[in-house]
Amino acid sequence: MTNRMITMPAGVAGAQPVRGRVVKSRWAHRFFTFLAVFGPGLIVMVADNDAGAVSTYTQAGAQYGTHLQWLMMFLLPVTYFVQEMVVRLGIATGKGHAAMIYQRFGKWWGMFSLLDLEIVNFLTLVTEFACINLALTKLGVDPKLGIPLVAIGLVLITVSGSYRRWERTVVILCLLDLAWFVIAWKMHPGGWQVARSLAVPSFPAGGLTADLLFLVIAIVGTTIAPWQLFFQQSCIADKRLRFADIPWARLDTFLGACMTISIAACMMFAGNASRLHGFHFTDPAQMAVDLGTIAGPVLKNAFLLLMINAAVLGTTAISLSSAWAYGEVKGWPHSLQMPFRKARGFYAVYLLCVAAAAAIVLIPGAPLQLIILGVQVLAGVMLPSAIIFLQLLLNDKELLGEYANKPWNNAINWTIIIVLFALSLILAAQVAAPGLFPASDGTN
Amino acid sequence: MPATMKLLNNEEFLRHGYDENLDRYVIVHPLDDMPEEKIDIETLGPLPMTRSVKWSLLSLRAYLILMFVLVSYRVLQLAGLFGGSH
Repeated sequence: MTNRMITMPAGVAGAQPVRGRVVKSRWAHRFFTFLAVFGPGLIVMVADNDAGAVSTYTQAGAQYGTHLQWLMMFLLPVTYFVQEMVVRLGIATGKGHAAMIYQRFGKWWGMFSLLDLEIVNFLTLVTEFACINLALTKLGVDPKLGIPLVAIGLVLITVSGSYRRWERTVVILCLLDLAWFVIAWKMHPGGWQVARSLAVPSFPAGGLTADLLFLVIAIVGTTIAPWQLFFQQSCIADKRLRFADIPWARLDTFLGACMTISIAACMMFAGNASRLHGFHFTDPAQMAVDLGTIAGPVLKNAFLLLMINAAVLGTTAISLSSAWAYGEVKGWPHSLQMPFRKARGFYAVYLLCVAAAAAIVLIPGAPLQLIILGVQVLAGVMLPSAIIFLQLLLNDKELLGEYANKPWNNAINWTIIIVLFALSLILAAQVAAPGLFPASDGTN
Repeated sequence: MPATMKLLNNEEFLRHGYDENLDRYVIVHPLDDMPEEKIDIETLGPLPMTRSVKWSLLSLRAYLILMFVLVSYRVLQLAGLFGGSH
């Protein structure tokens, strides 16, 4: 294989030299083309297993064992179908999601979506740093030193003025998440148990209680988050993916979905192991310490480092989705390919998000519990509305032409939207009437 | 439009990646490639308000108002405005 400058074939109007890679076989061509496109799908999916996700999945395992594993198999196609729509929209228009809502639905909906996104994202970022704080404390590192260092690292990987550098760094961080498989394997879940829990839907003893319902809603809300729609579309636009890249971008998204769901299942197995050993769940960092007493300090430290990695991935993706969305709506230059001096507003939003969230966590007595509650409520409100806009845009033939949704896409997506609305309304009903569902009796 | 787009996007070249001059397959990273012509959303203007779009947006407004009322009620309830918190 060689690198050389090539030119577009004759006959193309305005052809300019483009840098290309030359290979001999068709298979090598396919593989390297995939590698060139690979990135946004994996990142958006793996970054979705952020601090909140680690907490939700390990809690699900700690409270209900492997009973909710099947839900992950159900969520795999759901998360893929939603993000696949984003792929088509991003490639066909070359614009971000916020710009699209602003221009096609008008200022009111545009500003509503932007404001909602920015608030939910910021509150989520605070929870990411709260997780880093927790993990650093259990690792014996002073958070007052560790959190600013993590924040500086997050800024440095982004402001280099190279999309490729950022993407490569983040893909490496995503691949580090594969260590969750080692942790799950160390918990000796048993092949038969794994297969059964994933394939056979079951509910824990005690039936549908308020706690179980909340956890199911939290799992769904964690697996499909509003920022993902904005992030992946902007990322695709920034990477300038082409129409011919659609099949590879779909594959990238599908592999990312498989990876994120498998890792989520691993987190549940870790939670289940802690339950089987009689540990009481308080938070994932404490779970790491508890599991460390039976599996050794290496596992404990790996677990805590993976928590930090999850929060770092979540932070960079969520902050970028905020910065891209703000830049798109304001009409500012907004690309990771641009140096700081050419996209000051874009980088300033990213910097501000990271710095403010890190600073809030370091304030003694900050209302973190209230912030976590706020994230759940606002994300619950925003998710159905964000998906409605996505669905309407994907049916916009004027905008997408042949890339618009087919009838079978619509059937699947409207089903997803109805389920999400129903879950949100159940959550709302439970908030309005807390005694609506029976309380858990603790026998799971 | 699709034919023009195909020519401008040079889709055949990218899909098969076969360069006749070199007799080899060519891979071009999206960031190293010429910018593609995309649909210009600015000239399209706002989305036409068909019946389904209108109903979807109306339902969304109703849902958002309902959620706002419920959350406000819960906040006021927690503040003890209705005679004690839960």
